[in-house]
Amino acid sequence: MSAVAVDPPSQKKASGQLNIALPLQEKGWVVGLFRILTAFSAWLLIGAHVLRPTFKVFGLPITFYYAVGVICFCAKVRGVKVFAKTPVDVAFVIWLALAVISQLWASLSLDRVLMPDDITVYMSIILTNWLFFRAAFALCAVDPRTATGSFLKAIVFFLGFACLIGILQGYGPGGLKQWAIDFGVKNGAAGQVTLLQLDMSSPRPLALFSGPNYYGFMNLIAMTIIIGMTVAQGKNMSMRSVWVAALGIGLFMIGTIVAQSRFAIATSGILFLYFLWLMLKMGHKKVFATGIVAMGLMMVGGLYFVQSVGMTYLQSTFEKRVQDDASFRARERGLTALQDQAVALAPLGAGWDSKGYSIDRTGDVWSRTNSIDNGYLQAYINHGIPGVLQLLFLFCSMWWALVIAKRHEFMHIKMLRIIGGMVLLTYVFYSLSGTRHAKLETGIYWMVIFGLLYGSVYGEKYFGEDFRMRWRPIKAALTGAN
Amino acid sequence: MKNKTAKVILALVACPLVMFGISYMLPKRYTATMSLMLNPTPVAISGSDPNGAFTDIAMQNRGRSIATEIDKLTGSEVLLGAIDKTAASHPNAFADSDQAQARYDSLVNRLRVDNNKDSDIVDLRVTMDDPKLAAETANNIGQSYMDYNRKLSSNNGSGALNDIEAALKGKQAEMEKIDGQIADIKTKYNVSDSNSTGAMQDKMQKDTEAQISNIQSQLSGAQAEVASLQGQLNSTPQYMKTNEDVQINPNAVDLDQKISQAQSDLDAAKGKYTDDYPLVRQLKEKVDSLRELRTKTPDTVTGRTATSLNPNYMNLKGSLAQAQSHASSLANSLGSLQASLATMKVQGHAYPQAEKELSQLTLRKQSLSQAYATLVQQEQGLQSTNGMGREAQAQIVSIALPPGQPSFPNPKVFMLMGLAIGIILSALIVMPKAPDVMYAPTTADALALDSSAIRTNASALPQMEKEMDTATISAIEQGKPEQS
Repeated sequence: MSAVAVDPPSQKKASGQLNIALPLQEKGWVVGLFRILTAFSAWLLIGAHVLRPTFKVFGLPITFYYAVGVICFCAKVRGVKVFAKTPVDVAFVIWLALAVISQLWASLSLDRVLMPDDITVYMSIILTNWLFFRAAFALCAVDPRTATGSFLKAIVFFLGFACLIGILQGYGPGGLKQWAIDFGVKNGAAGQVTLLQLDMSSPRPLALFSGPNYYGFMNLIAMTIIIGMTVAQGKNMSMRSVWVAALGIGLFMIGTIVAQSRFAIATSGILFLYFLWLMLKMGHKKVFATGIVAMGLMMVGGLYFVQSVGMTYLQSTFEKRVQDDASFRARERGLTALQDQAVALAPLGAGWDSKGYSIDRTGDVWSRTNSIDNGYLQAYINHGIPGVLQLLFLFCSMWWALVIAKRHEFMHIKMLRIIGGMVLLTYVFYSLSGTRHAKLETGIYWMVIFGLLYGSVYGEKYFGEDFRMRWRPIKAALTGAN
Repeated sequence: MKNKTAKVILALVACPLVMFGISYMLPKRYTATMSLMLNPTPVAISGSDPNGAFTDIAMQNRGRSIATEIDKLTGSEVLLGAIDKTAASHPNAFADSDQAQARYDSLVNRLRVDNNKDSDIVDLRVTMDDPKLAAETANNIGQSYMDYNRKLSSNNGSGALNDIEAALKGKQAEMEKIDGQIADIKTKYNVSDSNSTGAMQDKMQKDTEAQISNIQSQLSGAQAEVASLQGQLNSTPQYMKTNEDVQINPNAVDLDQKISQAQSDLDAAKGKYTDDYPLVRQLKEKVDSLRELRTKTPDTVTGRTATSLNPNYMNLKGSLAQAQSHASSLANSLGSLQASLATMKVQGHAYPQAEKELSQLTLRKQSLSQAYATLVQQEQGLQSTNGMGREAQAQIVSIALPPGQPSFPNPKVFMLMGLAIGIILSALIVMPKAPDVMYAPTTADALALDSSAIRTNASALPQMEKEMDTATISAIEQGKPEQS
């Protein structure tokens, strides 16, 4: 039990009456401090993840240690409840188990020679992802509304900043462009790649991420949050918030187009239409009309911007046949190799290989499936059929959070449910064109969203209205009102 | 809680230790690493290189990228070559064909080639049960790869050399044929050097044409002068009057008197008669007739004239004869030159044709000579390397040494796996099986519900807390909140 739970009530009178003083952590200024620390923790985690992605200590990202610290802080405040088990944790336990078993299977049964850092890197990815989930959950245990608001705002802020950096890297005016490039090279996840991509005839900026497709994907995450925060207001949706949403969505859509990622552009279009449908469904007609106007203006502005800059790469992909596309051919080669190895991989896969996601075909015979760029097939390559089942279970565990969240009408839960739904769909859909769950760079966002959702739902289940209702007579008895 | 903490610590410590122990029980494998530096510089053959085909053949074994070289490195030619080399020094390891096949399969499955994108060095890792065998096989793969490259370059070089020699013979024969054709043309047109002869002929023709043009203009001038002198001579009298005697014409005096008499008669008749009167008309006609005759009669008459030869006439006649003589001379010259020009043109017509045929042949011969020279250079290059083509450059930069520690099971990796299992177990221990139990409200939670201080009976609190726990659990288990 936590220190809070075991604190004995102070006995001030020996007359048989117990004077129970307000515990320290429930005092107003302490609660305020906890809220500030909660918000700070959320901003710290996301900020470090976006701005310091390559900063590692003992081979583990700095966010790993931050998340451990945050969980310890929350455990100190709320006790062991911050460790409450969710289906997502079960998925992570299975995932960790598969990582170990597949490694052993590949080494013993498939005769594969995996490098020692393969398992360590993989475990750091899984554990950091899991810790982000637990940290979001734990912060919700401290204060769900503060944690939710802080995390969502931090994600939108930092991804918005990164999006702006990306746009400036590609098409910024004069000195600003150079500044954005230097910033990306120094602080981005792949500095050298940033320079390489911008050196091409049609620049594909990376912002602060390790590839243009990642940049496009991050913009989608930010868009889902903006959409969720706006439509969760329902009938109370104001015109101001619609305009703010339009500005935000416009910025991230421009970022997505600038990244020239076809899949991201297609998904952003779907999200945009979904947003309009949600506004029509939930908001007032007047607000919907304002939204249409705002979005229309943003679209016109975006199109004007796109027309004024060169999108040679994107244009060339539409002009060429699909078979001529280098990315398509790389996938095709990976798929052909997978067809040859499918039977051998089925039981437990060939383990996780740190070069498995790259188009680099060096390594061993099992590396011929590299660059397949499909989350489901990658799970099969790494862990065989159990890996695919584990991925589906991970999706289902997220979906379960959406189901149980339906019972609650609280604003932050409703908001998280809408955002979670769109994020889950984005991950499920995007996994067809790339692996997003087993990469730290992209994996933490849905972990945070669903950590918040589970934390809020569990919090409301066990500390919410039901809980208060049950405590009312006991409290009355204790205070002697009845 | 303390119990759980102890279990977690136990799991986190025991699992890595157990895995560490297991790592010493599994059969060991040793991985030897050999580093090979490759040169992936693509062979650039210029499109304008006439001997590009030979260059391409000679350099055919060079890969265009590191990936191509890696595919060669892991190909059966290289691996079988390496096994042969290893088998030579370790005959027991490849005692029979089954064992050799098993070794080969194992080598292929466990072979790992890693390359950093920014480096030309590839690390080749061979994993086997015997560390010495693994190291030797790794080094032999490198050696076999280089041998294979040499073999390829030798094949390609010899092939290219044969092709070059055949091409040289062909070009030699063609050049000889062209020389014969040139000699024939020179004989036919009787020119030693068609270029200089043609040029001289051109100059003479142009000079003659210029002369003709000049003489034509002189002749035109002379003819004009003759015509002018002839005109002057025609207008100049041959003789000129030296003296002349002039007297009054008596016929004119007589006519004047007759006219006066007739006019007087007319005037008198007009005084008496009308104008239509016949006499008047007769007189009038007489007067007119006389006046007409008077007009035709000169007033004076020359009595005597003296004449002599005109000197101007004589001079003009002399000049005319001289001009006619000059014009005749020019006409003769012109005729002569025109005849010469016609001859020249007839003769010069053959030179351009000869020049044309000869220049084509000469150009062809020059081109063949250049190609021949380049081929000779290539031939010499290949001959200097004993018929070897350009080899795919490779160098062993780090030989494989027998590893002291097994690569599998790696105790560190196994301990990390044990740690992962420990974390899994810890999670299962720490995370409550039934969240409802975990979330049964505690005193602290109860206090958190109300910010005001709560005073109650000290003895009642533990009992109430217990009851509350039970009530809450039962309510949650039933899936409905407990109502007050």
